[in-house]
Amino acid sequence: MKNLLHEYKAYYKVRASRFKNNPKYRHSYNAEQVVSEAMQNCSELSEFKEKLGDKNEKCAPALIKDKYLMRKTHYEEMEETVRLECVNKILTTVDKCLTALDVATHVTEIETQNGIDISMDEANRHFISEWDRIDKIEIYENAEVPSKYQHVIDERAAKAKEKLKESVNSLEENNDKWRPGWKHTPEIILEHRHKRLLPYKEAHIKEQLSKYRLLINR
Amino acid sequence: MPIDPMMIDAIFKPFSDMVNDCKAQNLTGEDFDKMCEMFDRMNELAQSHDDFNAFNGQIMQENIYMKFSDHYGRALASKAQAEQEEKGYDDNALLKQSVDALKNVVLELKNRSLKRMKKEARKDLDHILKQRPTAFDNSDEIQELCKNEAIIDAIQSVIDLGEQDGMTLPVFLRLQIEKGLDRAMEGVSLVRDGYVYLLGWSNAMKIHPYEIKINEEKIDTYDRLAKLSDFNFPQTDELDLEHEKIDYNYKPDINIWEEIKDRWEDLLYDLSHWSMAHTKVAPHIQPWAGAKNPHRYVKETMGICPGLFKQRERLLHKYFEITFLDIFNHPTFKWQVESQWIGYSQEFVEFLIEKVYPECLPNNKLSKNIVEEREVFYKEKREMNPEDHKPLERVKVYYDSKFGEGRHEAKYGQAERYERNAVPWNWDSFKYK
Repeated sequence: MKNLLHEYKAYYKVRASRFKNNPKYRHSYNAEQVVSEAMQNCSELSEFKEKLGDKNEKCAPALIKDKYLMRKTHYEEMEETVRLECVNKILTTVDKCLTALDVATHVTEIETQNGIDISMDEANRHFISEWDRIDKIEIYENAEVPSKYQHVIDERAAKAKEKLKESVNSLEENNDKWRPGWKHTPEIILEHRHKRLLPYKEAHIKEQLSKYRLLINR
Repeated sequence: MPIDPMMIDAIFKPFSDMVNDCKAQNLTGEDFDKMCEMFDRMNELAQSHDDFNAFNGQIMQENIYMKFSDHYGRALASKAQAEQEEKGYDDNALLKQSVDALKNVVLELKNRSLKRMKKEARKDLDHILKQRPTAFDNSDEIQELCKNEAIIDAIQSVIDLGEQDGMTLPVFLRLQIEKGLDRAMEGVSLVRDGYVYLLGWSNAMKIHPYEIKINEEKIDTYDRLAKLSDFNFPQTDELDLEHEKIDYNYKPDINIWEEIKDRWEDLLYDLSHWSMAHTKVAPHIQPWAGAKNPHRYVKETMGICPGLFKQRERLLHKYFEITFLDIFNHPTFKWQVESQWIGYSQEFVEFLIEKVYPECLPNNKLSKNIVEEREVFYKEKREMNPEDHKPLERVKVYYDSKFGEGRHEAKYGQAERYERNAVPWNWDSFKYK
């Protein structure tokens, strides 16, 4: 048992060293160090259970904290506000978890709900996928064509407008099943996380957005 | 009407297996009861919905899958804990338990997953199989891509370690960390191999320069983070985030690149299409030949196309300040030519620029001599890029380098080569660059 004690002391020391010198994992390193110290202070292996207490359970929330603090910095830089909501919620509540299993359940629960929030938020990118159709409407309405073909492009414009409305209705109908009462809010697209994906200047985005809102009556 | 059992059964199977597993182990208690409650609720929702999407939406709103898994985990954990407390501390038993668990993983990886995947991959379509007997057999690809061997070797090393004479649990656990075996078992190094593989693809495909840069940066990031670690493996979360950031940073550039390319491709198509409509053959070829009245449709194209073209040209300039002639010195154009993705031949593009573009004006028709020239391009098959097979050749070379000589052809057949009689592109001689 004497050897076993030394072997456990060596193991817990190495376990903590996985996070050594990496400031991004400081909570994990500290929590693992506390566990290791509990072991290093044992003169008999049988003392460990009492000295350990709940120290080992605290390693799981510590690792989650490190992980989500990294995500926090990452999402703040990206201005990913919806994803940040989930990160902040986890960071402020994870300490309340008593066991590693509680941590896993808690994090998954928040992540699952946030997954729906993200899907509902990003569903507003429908505007991006409809940009081309709005352009087509503009092209049909402004194209100079011989008068005998005017009706052809007028019909094309009318059809494109109809399709646009149908696509938005279908989007709302579908998302209502995931979040009852969900309504498309096109202006959300002006927030950085969405706007950055559009390969256009701000003025053009705003102009196109006004046309879109008028066409879909939202 | 309930949801089709064909769809539901596949989803419910793992859950019913877990319930049955718990029953077989005689598990009881609050967590087991709640787990069954969740399973009953899934069944109830499957019966009361007829729309699969609505069913999924409801499941997610009630968070049923997660709740089920949570109670399942707790039910198993409490059983294991009770057993452990009953037995007391036994180093040998704990070590054996750890090693046996790893042996099961190796068994699963070796005998089950790969075989199952290979079986799935052997889908047969008689017609194609007669021509290419191994077309739907993805075993070679799976063998190469599912590098279970690396993980199996790592796990086997851990098993060997655990079975050494005199081994104890703490030494076993410590050596796993010190030798990096815990990370190797996670398959972290395979992430790097994956990006090296993808880099090879992006160099073969040459879709755009960013894809190549992204994969190069991901490999560099892996190496940088691995160097920082005492055990020469990056931390998975840190690596994932760094990789996510690389994708995030390049996304806007990729979107601009693709938007500009798509827009000028449309403009060149308009010029080709409009000029073709003027020729005698137009009513006899697609898309006009398929119309109810091909001649009327040809006339409509001739009348409408210039107006649409001018609007598209205006939008390209409005959004990106690129005029028609600017297209040809834009990096996207050069890239498409040099990677041989461009659809049209150099001589045809020059013809469109010099002869068709100046006349593609609303209410205008193409001059007779240009129409004749256009028809000659069509008849002599000089419109299309004669080297447009090169991207596929690059892919073929890369594919065979990964999965074996001749594998691409065995799987996908020989690509059809069309007659193209134009002179190959020569960027140096292209006047509009």
